[in-house]
Amino acid sequence: MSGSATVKIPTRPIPASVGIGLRAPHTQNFLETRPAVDWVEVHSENYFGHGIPLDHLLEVRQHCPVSLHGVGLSVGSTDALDTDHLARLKALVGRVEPVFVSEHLSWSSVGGRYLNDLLPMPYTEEALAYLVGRVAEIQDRLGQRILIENISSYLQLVQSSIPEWDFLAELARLSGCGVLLDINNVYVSAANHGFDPYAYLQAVPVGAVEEMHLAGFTRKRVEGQEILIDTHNRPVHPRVWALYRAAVQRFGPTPTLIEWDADLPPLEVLVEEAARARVVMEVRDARAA
Amino acid sequence: MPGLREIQVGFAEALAGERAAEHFAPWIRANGLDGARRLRIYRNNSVATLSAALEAVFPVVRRLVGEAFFASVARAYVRACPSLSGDIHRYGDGLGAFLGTLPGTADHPYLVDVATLEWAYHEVFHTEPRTALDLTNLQGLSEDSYPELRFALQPAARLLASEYPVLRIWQVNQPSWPGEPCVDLSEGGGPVLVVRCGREIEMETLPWGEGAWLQALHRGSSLVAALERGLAVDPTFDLGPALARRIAQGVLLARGGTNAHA
Repeated sequence: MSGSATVKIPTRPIPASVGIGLRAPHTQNFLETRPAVDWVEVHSENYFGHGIPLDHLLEVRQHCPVSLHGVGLSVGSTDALDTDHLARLKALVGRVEPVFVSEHLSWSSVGGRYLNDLLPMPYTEEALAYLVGRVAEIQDRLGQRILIENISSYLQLVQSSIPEWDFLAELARLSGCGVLLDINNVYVSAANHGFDPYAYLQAVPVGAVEEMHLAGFTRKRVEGQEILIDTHNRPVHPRVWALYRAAVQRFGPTPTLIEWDADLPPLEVLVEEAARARVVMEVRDARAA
Repeated sequence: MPGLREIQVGFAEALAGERAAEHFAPWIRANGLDGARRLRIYRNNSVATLSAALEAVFPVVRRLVGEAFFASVARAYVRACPSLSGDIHRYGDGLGAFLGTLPGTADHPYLVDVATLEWAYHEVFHTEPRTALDLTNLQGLSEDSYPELRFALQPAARLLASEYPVLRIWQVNQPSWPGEPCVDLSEGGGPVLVVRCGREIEMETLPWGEGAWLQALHRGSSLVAALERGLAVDPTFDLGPALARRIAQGVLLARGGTNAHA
């Protein structure tokens, strides 16, 4: 689809780059206004059929890099890997030439039934060994590395014997995948399970994090207990910004994405949030200089 | 200690039913909130995600039955028909048939067909078209071979039929429709063609004869056998213009490839 007039797009975002999750209602406006973001990320499955959305995405791709973020591969499932799903992802990778391909540290199906949600793994030695094999198989079949993202969770399994942060770090080390560190998810899970989100950051090796996500959460009260839900429907919370500053301090400037999926505001709001992330990275750079 | 498989099976069963949730709850760290309530968050998330997917695919059905009724239908459908793919856009193909089984929809006999039309639109929207047939390929063939030509329907096209004016119902229930959403059901139905043309989707109600002809071609009939089907339904069916139009529109492709052959 990309014609000969296509500008050469960098294959990796520059470290201090900021992006936004691009959703269908914003695409037209994005193409017309070309806001000041360095790349965009989309959900892989929305383009699997190579339908009309892909035509729009390939037009976007002529102006800025694109990353593909999957929500449906069910990486941690004990079902056989869905090779049809993976083949469709691979075909899409061939068309889009994304800067990153990412998936989640979670499972979403068993016995052939999909919950279409990101369900938490038990953090055990067995699960770690299993996931290392799955990620390796996915990377083999795709012919490229992927990033794995930490999820927000609302329960912990009693079988878990490894802290999530160590599990994630070991998965990256043993499988060779990169880490997509979702700062909001760290904050949400820390609040829900009562651990220190800053300790989480300290446990993740500096070289492992290749992308970060920022998003908004919603507070919900259940039986007097407050639970944070990863809703992606509002601005990044001030405490998540604070955690992000600490993350940038530790990991250095890292491609950072603003995600917003529900109750979409005007495109400019996402662009302003992305600009805030850029300032955080620039301040860090200025201090380091 | 249960292994990963056992945990995942138990988790999924717990999300499907409250009883199984009681068995699974002891495997969840209470930590200030009991396991059953934590599971309910996931159950709600999953139902909300799948319901939102159905809302996105069936906006006209939703408008016809009302948001509250649609929400209850969606919840019932999610319980009855689990998702079978990590690609959520594949979810909902059975909603039309499911609607037909519900007692509350008897007053709207056209609902099932409207759902079928919305699903067809959804599939076409998410399908890459194959290159249209080049008419010059046909010109190279001898006229003797025309009767035995076989065509395929464009992958980014769907043909359906209804006794009701479903396309009119669809059109007047678009947000952009300027007038009242009223349709005279007695105007009758017909075959409806849904086809992707570039970044647009074209929809059109066909005469019954042309619909029968196109359906026969789609099922693999030769041009002459399909013509007989069309004429049997409507003796006034005119093959020439229909064939030229559907080839030019990219609806008809050569069977088995992008080049025409007998």
